[in-house]
Amino acid sequence: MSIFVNKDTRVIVQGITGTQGKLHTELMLKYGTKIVAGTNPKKAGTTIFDVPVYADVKSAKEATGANASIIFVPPVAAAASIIEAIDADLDLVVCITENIPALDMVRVHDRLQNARTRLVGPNCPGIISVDECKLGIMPQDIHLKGHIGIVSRSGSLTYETIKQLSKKGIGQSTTVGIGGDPIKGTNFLDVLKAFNEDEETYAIVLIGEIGSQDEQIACEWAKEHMNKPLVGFIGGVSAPPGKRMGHAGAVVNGKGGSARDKIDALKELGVRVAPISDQIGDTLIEVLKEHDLLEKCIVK
Amino acid sequence: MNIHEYQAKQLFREYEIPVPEGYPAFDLKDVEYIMDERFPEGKVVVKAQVQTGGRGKAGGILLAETEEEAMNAAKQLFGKTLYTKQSGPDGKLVRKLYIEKQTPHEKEYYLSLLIDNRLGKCVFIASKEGGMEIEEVAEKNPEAILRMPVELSEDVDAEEALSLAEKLGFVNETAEDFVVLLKQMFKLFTERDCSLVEVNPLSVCDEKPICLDAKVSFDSGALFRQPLNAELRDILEENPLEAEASDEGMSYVSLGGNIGCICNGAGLGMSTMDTINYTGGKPANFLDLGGSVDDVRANKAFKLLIREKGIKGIIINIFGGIARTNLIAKGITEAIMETDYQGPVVCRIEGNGDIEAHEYIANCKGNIYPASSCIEACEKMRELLKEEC
Repeated sequence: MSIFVNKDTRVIVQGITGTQGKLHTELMLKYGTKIVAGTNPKKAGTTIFDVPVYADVKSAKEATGANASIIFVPPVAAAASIIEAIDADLDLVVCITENIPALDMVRVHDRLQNARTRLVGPNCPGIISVDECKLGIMPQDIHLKGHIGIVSRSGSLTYETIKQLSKKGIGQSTTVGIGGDPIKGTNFLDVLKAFNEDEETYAIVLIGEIGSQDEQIACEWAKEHMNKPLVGFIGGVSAPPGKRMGHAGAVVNGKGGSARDKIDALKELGVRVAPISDQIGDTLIEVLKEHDLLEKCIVK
Repeated sequence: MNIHEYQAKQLFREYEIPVPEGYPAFDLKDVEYIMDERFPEGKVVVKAQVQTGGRGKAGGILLAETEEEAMNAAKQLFGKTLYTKQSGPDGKLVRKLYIEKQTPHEKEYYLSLLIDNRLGKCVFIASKEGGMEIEEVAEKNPEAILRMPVELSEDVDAEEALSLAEKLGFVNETAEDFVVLLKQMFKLFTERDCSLVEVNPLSVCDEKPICLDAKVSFDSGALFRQPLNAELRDILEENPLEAEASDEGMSYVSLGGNIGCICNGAGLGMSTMDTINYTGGKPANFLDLGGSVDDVRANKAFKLLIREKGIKGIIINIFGGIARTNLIAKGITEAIMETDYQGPVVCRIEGNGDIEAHEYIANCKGNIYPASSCIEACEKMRELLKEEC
């Protein structure tokens, strides 16, 4: 088991003919992801790495039975691509694109209400269920199949964490990069709920950063409803207020948005928080030991 | 992306949002001309045009009853550095003024329009307690803050807007004018891809609402379709290193410390400066090299960072997933040899291409050291700088 994606996930790549789309299609295929179609309105009828290209998501879905898509379309057309995937009633859309205008994301957010499609991102590295499906741009060779679920706003820190865990023989079930944008589809809370239901996931690492109160909202829910240990990390303790730190959503403005506020709130809710990113793995090991889960989580 | 008050007020005029008569002045001659031609009766406000809040408290807004007073105020303000809560330790140099007609008024209100990220909607925020910072109002008297979400697919709902007007105490024509003002503000916000439109204070003069101040920020992600917005950028208001980095596809923020860092990824960038902080150092900056980084950009990043004042040492923290760490190492080691930077550089480089990357570091004749983790790099740096920090 895993969450959101598995070996049966059938994928459309929206924007398969662009530089990034092409590069990551090849890498995802190598990983074993079932990419069944690509889209480009001008190149319908052609193929890329033997993947057929269709004019739009609807026809790609009808021809191939795809249930998910990943988007590598530039910011100018990315929101329209997300809406196209929602209109085609896909189960899941992962949007990698960074710098989508905020008002476009408000439109996407409106369209997502009452839709059954799950959006992950934008501005995210995607999702990987280890050895089953990689729907994203994360490096291939750092993962180890196992029982830790990871959810994160940062791509680079996710890779760091996975590498720390794999080195110690601790495998991962699914990793979800929810992205660094302020308006996004799937949030921490949605992912924690899914991990809580997933039998293969024994414990969860949540990697947050400055801006919003999404980490607190998710951990409040977890305190009431989650029966699995949770370890946290929050980036940006030394970030000054009002300054955007790379990600569009990483700005301290307003109550609860600073790293200190978040760390205090998470600790209050009983979440163990790693003091620095290099210690995320060790903090998790400590918590797994306390719950008698360490042996079950070491897979190698 | 922020713009000046005088630019925001010009936009307001274009959208028929009421503002007092006013003109920008770039030197004393302009002030003299404006006073002679536009305000012969005097009674103006001389306002420093710097992109930071709290100008009034810092002495950047002066009342003048006569031309002489206006000239004196202008002399006082041009070239002055204003220090506000938001200006940073370097303050903000006043290069431009805005000369505006005084507006007799009693009450001051707060009004803004922004995107509420949690709701995923545009929201008007209003309060009877204008003139002070909204964060302060939120802290002391949260009930005083009124909120009105607007659907993007629709327009401002006239009834809801009227109800907001009533809550603020506006009646009759004032309330009706306020509803029109909200509609126009929403139009400006959506047509120009704003991220914030703020009026603080809003007031009422002769029973008509009028915007005494105006702040507009644009969504920098939407500049590709808003060429007019890009033209309003005032590069002199930005930190030059931050502006240059952003033109090169990198994210840079000056933090005022003495240990610099170069990283790939926003999360890794933040956690690296946090680790510098954790080991007792003071981070000088945040730097994310950005996607698709190569040796040329890494080289530029290093040369940009060493221009930061007071840098004593530099930590490189790279985890290469897709990014090729060998290219980053090549760019940085070449930059070390091409510049006269003498301070220590501690490199933690791991991932795609790292064997070659480590060779570049080993073969570099600069003051450069390898490390196997971020914390090890930070501790090594503290040791190297022991006498200086």
